[in-house]
Amino acid sequence: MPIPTRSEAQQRADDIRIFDLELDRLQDEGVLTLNSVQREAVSQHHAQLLEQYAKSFDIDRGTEAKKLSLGMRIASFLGALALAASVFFLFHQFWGHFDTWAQVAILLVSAFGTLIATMWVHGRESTGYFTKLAALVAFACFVLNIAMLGQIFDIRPSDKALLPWAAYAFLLAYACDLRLLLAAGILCMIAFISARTGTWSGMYWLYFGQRPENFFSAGLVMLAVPSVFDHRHYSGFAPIYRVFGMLSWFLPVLVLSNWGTGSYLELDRGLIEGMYQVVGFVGCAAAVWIGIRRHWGDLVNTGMTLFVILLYTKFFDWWWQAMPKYLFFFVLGVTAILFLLVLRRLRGALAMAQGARA
Amino acid sequence: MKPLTRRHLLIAAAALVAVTNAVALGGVAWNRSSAPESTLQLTERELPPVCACSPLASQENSEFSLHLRWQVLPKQTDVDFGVAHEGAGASPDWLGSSKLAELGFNLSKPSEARRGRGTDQVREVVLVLELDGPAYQAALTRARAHVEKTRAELAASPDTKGHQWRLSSAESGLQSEERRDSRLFAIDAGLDPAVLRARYPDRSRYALMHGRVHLGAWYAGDMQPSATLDELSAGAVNVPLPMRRAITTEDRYAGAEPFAATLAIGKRLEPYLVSLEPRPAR
Repeated sequence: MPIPTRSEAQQRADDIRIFDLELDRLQDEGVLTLNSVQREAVSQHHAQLLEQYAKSFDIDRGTEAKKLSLGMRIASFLGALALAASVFFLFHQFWGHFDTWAQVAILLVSAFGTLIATMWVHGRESTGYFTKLAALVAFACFVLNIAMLGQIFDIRPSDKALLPWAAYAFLLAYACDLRLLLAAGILCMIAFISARTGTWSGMYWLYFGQRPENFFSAGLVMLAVPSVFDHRHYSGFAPIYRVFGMLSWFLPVLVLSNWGTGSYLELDRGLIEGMYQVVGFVGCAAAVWIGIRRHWGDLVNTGMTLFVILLYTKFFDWWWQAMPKYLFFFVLGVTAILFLLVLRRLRGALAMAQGARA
Repeated sequence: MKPLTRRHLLIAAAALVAVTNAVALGGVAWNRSSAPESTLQLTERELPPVCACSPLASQENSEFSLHLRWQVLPKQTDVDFGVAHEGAGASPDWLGSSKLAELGFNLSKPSEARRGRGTDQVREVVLVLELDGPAYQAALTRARAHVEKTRAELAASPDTKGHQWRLSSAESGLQSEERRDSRLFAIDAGLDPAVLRARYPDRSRYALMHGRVHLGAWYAGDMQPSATLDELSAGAVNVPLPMRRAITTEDRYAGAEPFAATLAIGKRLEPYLVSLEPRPAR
């Protein structure tokens, strides 16, 4: 049997718990009864699996444990952010008391030291909470490493620094199975691709946000990554790529649908805004359709949410001044009901399709 | 296979840290290798401490940097606004349409439908900074002429408070230009450092540094494009600890002690301090 990841093990544990509950119900309703030998065999097999998974991955074996785990994840995330901030301010507080080569040595030692600490922690704990803490501190130290070298030696700022930061975050994310570091890497990569796209039009890289279209190529790359590279062994990674890809594409469309002067296109402002409104609606609808076809719930939810945001911003633009407020909110409410009806129909069609496949 | 792959990824992360630092430090070494591109003898007038309002200057930041301060001669001739302007945000008299076109800006007028609602353009260019040269002398000449002019106006109308104020302001401006303001002026810009260096060969008077030019969105019709100089890309100069101790024993340099500094600009047009010594106040 192939060795599962932590999330696969957790999913199996959840399935076992639900299986036990449903089996009890079926027995009570007289639909299915296992004899004692079968019941014993199933129970023993499940107990062995859960024991093995608990030892290897420290999984949650019940709903109460799950709730506590959520609290631990939040504490781990906040602790990681706080430690990273602490490192940043520690450097700034005492920095000026060292000569240049001592400063360089401190930067190198902190970058390598925190990486080694991350490797050590990861090898010794199965939960991932402490690894996340250590990995985020390691990432913060590497970012500071390069940023502070730039400050010490008066290096001209460049978007090229984003590339090693992104690569480092990706390496830590894939090595330690950390979605937070993956998100950090994706953000750095989106910034790098967008800045590079901006420089091709001649603008200074730091001003890439002035032209929202600079983000489109980054969004397409992020959407394509999970389709090109298999992420089956990295639970939650593919949805993160897709969500960031959608946001990197949609947020510029939202901006341009309200502020056409930011576009590269030398067209009438109203025409640009209208065009991007259409692109926004069609794009979100396409994302929902693709998400349903490919069973990518993240793409469906993101597409649906962004569609609603775009729609409500246009409602505000068109009707907030023109309509009395009670009527405006009534229209919003009716629209929400229409969405519910459409989604219910979609869900029904999906269930039929799944039933036909079974 | 997977645990081995994880180990390889972490080893790759370590290699990335090493390579990135090697590239950064190698670039610094290359910038500072052999003779500098230019070397300027500056004082506290051109290298004041980083502004107290800057996030870098908080009480919890012990880092010590000097800010490279420079000026431009503006287009307007009305010197009540100052004979020279601080570099960032200023519009020099040489930054006209032909220079902007040379720097690669798109000067085609926006369509009628987009009139006045274009987006600003910002480009990184190579600026030529002149130390204590014709531009500074021109600023002093303007300041002295302005003092003479306001003095004559006051002599003609001695009871006018406005004229008294203008004379006081003009004399203060002249004093500032002679003793406190930077002698470093941005006098030209281009895209090719080699071309600029051929035009300004004196490496002890003219420094080439990366900076930004900002072309504002402008209206169609007869209005001309309006461009300003932005910050230098590497305008803060780090002061190593031994040099800081030469001019101050305090944790922060207050800016009161005069000093003489040798600032070198390397091959990558990045600055670095060669020396920093106290000098007697005049």
